[in-house]
Amino acid sequence: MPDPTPPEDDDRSASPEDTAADPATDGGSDTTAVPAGARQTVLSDEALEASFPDYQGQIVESRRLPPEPAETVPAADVLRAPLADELSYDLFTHQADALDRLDSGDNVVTTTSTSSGKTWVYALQAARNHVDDDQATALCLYPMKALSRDQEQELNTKLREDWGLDVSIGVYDGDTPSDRKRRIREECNLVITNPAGLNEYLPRHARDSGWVRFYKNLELVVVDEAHEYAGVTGTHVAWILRRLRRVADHYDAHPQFSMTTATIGNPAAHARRLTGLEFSVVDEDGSPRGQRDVVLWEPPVDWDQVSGHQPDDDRDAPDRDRDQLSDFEDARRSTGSEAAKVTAHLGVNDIQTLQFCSARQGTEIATKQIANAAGSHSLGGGVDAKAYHAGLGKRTRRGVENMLKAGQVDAVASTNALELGIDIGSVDATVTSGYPGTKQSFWQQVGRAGRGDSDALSVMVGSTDAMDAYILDNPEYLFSGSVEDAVVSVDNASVYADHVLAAAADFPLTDDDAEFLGGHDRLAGTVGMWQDAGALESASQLDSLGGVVYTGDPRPQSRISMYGTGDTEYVVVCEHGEIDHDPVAPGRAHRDYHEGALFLHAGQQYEVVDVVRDSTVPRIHVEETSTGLYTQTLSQKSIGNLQPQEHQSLGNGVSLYFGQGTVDVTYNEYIVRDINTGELVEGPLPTGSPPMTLHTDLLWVSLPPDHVETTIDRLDEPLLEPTDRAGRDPLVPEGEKRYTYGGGIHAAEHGVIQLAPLELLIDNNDIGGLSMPEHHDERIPGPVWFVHDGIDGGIGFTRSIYEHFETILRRTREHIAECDCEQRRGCPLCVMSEDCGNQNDPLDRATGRLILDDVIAAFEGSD
Amino acid sequence: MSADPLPPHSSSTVEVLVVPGAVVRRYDADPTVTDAVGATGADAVLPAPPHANLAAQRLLHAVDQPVLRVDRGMRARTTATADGDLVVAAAPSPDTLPPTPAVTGTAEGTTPDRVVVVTDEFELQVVPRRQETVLDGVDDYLDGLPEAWHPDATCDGPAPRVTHASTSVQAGYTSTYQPPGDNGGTDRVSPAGDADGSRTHEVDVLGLGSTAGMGAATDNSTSRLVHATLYPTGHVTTTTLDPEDFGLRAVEQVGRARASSLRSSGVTDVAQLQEMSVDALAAALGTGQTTARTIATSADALATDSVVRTSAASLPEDPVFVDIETDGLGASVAWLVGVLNGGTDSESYYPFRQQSLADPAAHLDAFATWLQGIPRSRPLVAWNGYNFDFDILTEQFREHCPDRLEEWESRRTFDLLYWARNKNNAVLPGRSNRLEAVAQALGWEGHTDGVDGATAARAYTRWREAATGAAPGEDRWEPDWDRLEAYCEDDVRALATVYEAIDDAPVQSAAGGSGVTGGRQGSLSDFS
Repeated sequence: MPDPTPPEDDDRSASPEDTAADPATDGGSDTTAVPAGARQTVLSDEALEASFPDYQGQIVESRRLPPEPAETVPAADVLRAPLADELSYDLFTHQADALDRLDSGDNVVTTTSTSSGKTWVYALQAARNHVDDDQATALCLYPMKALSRDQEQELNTKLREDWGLDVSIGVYDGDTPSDRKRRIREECNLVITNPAGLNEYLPRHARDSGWVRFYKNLELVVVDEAHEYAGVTGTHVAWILRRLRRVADHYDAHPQFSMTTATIGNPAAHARRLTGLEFSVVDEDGSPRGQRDVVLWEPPVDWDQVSGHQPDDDRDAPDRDRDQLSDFEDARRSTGSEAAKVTAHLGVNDIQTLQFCSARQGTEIATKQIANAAGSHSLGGGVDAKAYHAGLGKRTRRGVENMLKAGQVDAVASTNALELGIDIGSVDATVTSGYPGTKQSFWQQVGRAGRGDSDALSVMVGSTDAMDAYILDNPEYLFSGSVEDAVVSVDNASVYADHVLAAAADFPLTDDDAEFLGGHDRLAGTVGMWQDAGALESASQLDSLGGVVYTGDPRPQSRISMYGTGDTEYVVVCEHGEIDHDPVAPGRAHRDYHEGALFLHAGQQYEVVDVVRDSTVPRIHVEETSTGLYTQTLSQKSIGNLQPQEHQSLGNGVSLYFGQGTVDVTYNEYIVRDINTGELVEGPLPTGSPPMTLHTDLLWVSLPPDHVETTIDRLDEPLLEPTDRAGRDPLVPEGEKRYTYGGGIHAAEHGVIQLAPLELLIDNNDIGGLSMPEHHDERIPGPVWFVHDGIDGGIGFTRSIYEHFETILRRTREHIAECDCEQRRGCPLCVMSEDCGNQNDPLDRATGRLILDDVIAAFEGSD
Repeated sequence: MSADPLPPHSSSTVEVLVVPGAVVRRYDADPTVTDAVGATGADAVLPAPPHANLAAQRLLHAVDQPVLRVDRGMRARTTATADGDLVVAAAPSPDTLPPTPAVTGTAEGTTPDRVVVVTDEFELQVVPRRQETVLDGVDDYLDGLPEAWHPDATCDGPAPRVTHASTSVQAGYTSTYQPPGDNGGTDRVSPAGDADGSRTHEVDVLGLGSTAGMGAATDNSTSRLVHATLYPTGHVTTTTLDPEDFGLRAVEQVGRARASSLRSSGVTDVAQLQEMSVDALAAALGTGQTTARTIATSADALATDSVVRTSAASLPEDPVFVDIETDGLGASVAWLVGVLNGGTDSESYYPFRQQSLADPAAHLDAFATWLQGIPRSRPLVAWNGYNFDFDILTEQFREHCPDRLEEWESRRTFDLLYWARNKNNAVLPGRSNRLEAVAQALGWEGHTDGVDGATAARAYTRWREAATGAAPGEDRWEPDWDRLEAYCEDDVRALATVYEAIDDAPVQSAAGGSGVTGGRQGSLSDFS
């Protein structure tokens, strides 16, 4: 007889690792219980047919997520008397759970839905600490300054006004006046800042009795919106948090961490990588939710209008001096204008809407489109729309936030800047213009509509790329399965080396620091390097009394950029006018901001007129312009110096490698095209951009030497005819067979890169690829395709693709086979990429399918 | 190079001003660089990247001193100490060098102790992924040298030591480099002083420029000048200078735009500026009277090497001057506390120095005990004390002598630099806020040459390291403590000099009278 009761797990700290809730069933909802297609009246077929201009049944999916009641626990069950008495309401179960775990000494990562009251967890913990010891301090880190001000207000309201505690709270960042800073250091219990600020402030501890007081009494470190810390920024934050732990340890303080994050697939692992500590996970959401409709909207694509579209018979070379991508420009534009139409439709129906756009320029264009669409809407009426993005000045942003809160604006078109917890009150609906790239981000945007238990509506308007196409074809992907893993790596050597210097400037390095700074061997090696370079005192060693002292130029921490791996960023300057533009990393500067490049920023077109590279602060000089043209940058890339680190021999001569190598990229030429027709106007012209070399992480798929032959033999379709352009490009394989095969392996490479974000929280702009029928490295016997991190030193993206390779491969195979375009040379919905430096030539879906089949078969054979 | 971090006392030196092209592009060769040449007493100027050739062209016309250009030329340019012990030779290419190091001597038949060859052909890079530094190009450079200059060259008779310096390596960098082939083929760079005695084929390498590619270790955000002092022993001390402290830009409130306006009205140096009336200044610059007066006052202080008091505030009486020595900027120890009880003529200098590694508290304790004899009304005065000395001493007491912390924290402290500059009570002469620069302008002369804070810190660190490893009773390396204590004494006396100069300076009167060139209109309230 089976044991009827499973053993109870009474260890509260033992949470099953990384079992993040399915976003759709967050709180236990079940979409199948609702009639299919149910949605708010404003988006009913009747309403749309009656009033939406030219409605053609764009809605391909709609799901209703039923309301969820609150699950609560009396405050007195969790908190002791003085504090519990101040609380006139119950706590949500997840808040109670997190507080219990913190009480038992755990570090806690809370990963419940948007606006589920995650702030309460750390606010109450700080309050509880204060009640026990009025000297106790807490450090709260938010990713953006804007959030800091917001949270200062909220924490003041809670701790001081509502709970009657005599705590002093201060925001300490670049905007804080120096007198106020001194008072905060001397007096505040709760200091609010951001990781970049903390990086700068850490070394002050040794010179300031205020900081000494603060670190000595540090009991709680709050890391809010921790999912934001991924990629390069995440790597920096991980080292800054370790340096913080080291400084606290220096004063014998061992603060607890309370972290919050949007729903991610690997909260425990992510929290551990960011801090170096173990965490327990709270993910059972007890907050209430109103009914929520999620609608997927596919803009019509008229394939007949795409020039050269010849399904299933594309032997003839298309005119490659036309931009194949620009043939889809109409379709692409229709994503933005479709989204604007939807927003306008909601706006004229008095539904306040937040529209998320993928690019800053997009927000500016969207506001115009929304206003225009409202004007031509059959219900008439005006919709007041504003743009919001991080590139706008602070005052402008604050203005829009306030208008949203006060209901003074009907619609706001924003970048993901408003995904975060900036207080904008509640909006009625969200419209997502183009899939934001991740489920995590998508659900975060959706969560911006309908605070508390009010009903909410969210529409996702598909865009013309492979990810969107996949999701519109497979909506279940959004509503089931876990969200992506956040990817952060502490392996980047340059970032690490710079933080070792910063740590030495915090206070001298000793062997005791190995536990915070990457372990003994890594620390000793890098310390040795800096000693050789003269940046650390070489007379002493890690085991010396007094340790190793910093001797480089003062303030090394201030030269660390949170967004790069050590390169100087370019400043954008407008010659006869103003431009509010963030600094640009060198890689992007070389590609997108070379002399002659045209770009759109805040609704204005600019031309780059001069690039000053050899200045101490490199500058990009631009001028306002209005041309009706756009520029496209071409690149040449080569990969070498391969150092395999891991290897899987898959059988049939197929191997998968992960390792390091050198990627040389030159963005050497660009072409100028007409915005409307895509016709080549001028070029190729030289960019003047210097070559770049990345030493970075790579994976490569190595195929057998005879794979070109064996694949072409199996191909049922005719061979592709090389384009004129290909004939001029020495890097394109010669001859029809090799050209066709090259197109296949190129398609496989593009597909994998474009669909990798379905599994992983990664920005595929920071991933690159290269494929070829043969490679000069003698260890590579035949055709090969590479995927590499686009950041010097690597940031862990390629490694996670390597670890999830088979899954990504299968999705790619499925998607390439099923794309609606039915074109041999593919489309932006499957294998064409905007970032391709070879103008997407050659590409061949048919051969790509065969190559992917072979690799998948090799995986199956090796299982 | 020598294991002793202190350069020899009273040695002859070559003073070199390193001038990156970026500085002359952003400022002027004349008067910015010429002014810096004068202030540093440079024997020669060395154009350095970026844009070394631009610097060379402009400097050739602007300065009288030799321009050690390595970007072009048919022969090496040299400069040497008066005694000929040290020769610095800038070689545009290896074949421009004299046939042997020995014949670079300044007089017939003399052989220098050391020749420093300056080139731009190798640079230093850190390679974090391999955890190593690389002197990029150094092997090709060494291979290209004439036979007699090779590291392994043998010669009859006395041969000078040769140092290879690059303008593409950060000034202050020193190492010994082991060329490949000497020890199993692996390159090896080791910091200077690490040498284990087997230096047959090692090459002394020196940085005399600025460099990128060093991660967060180097500050490339501003263009800076470097004053390098080269010793025949191979010692080098470097001081970084901000070009804005020289020429017209040295004057308060004069930035790029105003310097340019002044030049277009024919004013090119501080002396000329000092001649102008406030009204003329205001008119020339289109500023208000207040700004013009600030500019005039600052120009006065600089041109006449004197202090101008700009407020009626007075200095506290009966100061005790304090200076500490540490193990670096991110100090973890204050191993020497020097105090001067009384003014510049006082005999009462007391160095409280850590005597043994085992006891980091005794000297602090002794200092605190000594302080008990000083009335609480007397201020402890330090230069930049609010940002360094006082804070560090507080932390040292907290860590090592907690029982004396309260007593220490109850003492009255006074930061002279803060009072003068931040609180706008006095305008000081000198080309920077560095104590030595201000005191020297006021006529102070130091007695301990070749020691600076960084050298003292290094000496202490090396002693700490040697003492840590030594067995009890074992002979261990000791720095010249007397010299380090004397260096600290120099600093407190410099501080007293500045203090007294400020105290003696007349307060600028309502009529703009004393201490200021006559004829200016103004009132005391303008400075409040």
